[in-house]
Amino acid sequence: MSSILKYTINIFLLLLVCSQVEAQKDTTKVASKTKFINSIGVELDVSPVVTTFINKNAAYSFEGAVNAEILKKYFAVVELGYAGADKTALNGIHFNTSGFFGRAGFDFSLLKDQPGAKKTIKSYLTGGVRIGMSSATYMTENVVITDDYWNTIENYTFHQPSTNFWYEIVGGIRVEIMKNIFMGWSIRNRNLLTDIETGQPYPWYIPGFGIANSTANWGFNYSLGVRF
Amino acid sequence: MLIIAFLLSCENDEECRKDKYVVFKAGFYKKTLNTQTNVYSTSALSVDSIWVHGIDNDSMLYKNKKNISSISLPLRKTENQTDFEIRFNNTTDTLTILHQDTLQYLSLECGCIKTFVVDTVITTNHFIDSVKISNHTVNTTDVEHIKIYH
Repeated sequence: MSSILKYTINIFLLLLVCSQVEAQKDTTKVASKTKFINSIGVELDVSPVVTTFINKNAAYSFEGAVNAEILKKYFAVVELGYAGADKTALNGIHFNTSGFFGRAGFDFSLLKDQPGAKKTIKSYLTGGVRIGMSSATYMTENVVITDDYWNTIENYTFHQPSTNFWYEIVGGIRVEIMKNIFMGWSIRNRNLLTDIETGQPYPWYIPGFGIANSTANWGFNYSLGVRF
Repeated sequence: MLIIAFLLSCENDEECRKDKYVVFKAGFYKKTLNTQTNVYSTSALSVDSIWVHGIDNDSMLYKNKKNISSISLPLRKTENQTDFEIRFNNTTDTLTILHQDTLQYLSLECGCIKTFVVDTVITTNHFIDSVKISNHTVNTTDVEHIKIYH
């Protein structure tokens, strides 16, 4: 059921992106009159205030983004951050990691400007994609195997580096709340590109990707930013 | 915001939902010689009563169990050899299993399990006629690993 929902949303977002590319062909003349880079934006994600609470303080993430508005239609985006997790499961297994991550990609503006119309409030409805990467060392310790019949107890610790790649499909909005000050949110469907080999230890949390219980998850960003 | 909170909270499920039960299974069979064709035929055997315990462990796995056609045995996770003493009615045999173990990580919620590959099975031959390995891999799949012939 969740797979169907995931793929439906993915297809819906891709169709939105494709329709914008098609629509862009009709506005080539308008675009040709605009500057190539219209503005630069710097944003800070403030969603960890909420998500850290939802994750019961087990995981944290801080990130910022720089984007460039191109031809008043596209946003080239680079997102950089630092994230980590420190969690003890109910069975006593303790997990710890922290590290830097980066994402790069682009957004399309899904709202079409009406030629000649003046906007009182600048707002953007966007869809886009990201490629993400993180490299961090993680530790999973106190992994206990007990044998009640033969009365043996083994305790394992896994301490190893992990480099992961993923892609994200992003939908979001940005609204100008004061002159050149923007507020916005985005919801992201993240899909891990790195293979998790069956039976091999893998990190519970991947910086920038989130909890890696499965190869796909959801993310949410709530950002405040300024445009120059 | 509520939908997003719900989506994120779903990821915090801490209950292990994976099967962690790894057990070695032996089935009992009767070998019958057809004197006309000189060919053995096999059929499932129900043992009247059975007692099983590990050698070096007095705790009984099966104690006077009646009409049983298969037994499940725990292999040692820290050694490559596991020995059991099996008493069929009034006759006792020992079963020695030589195996290799592999550590399998499941998840943070579930931890690890040990799976095995059975190399060799050796028995004494009082009640048992012979043994055949039918599946070398011992994991969470519920299958028979050896056939014990009477």
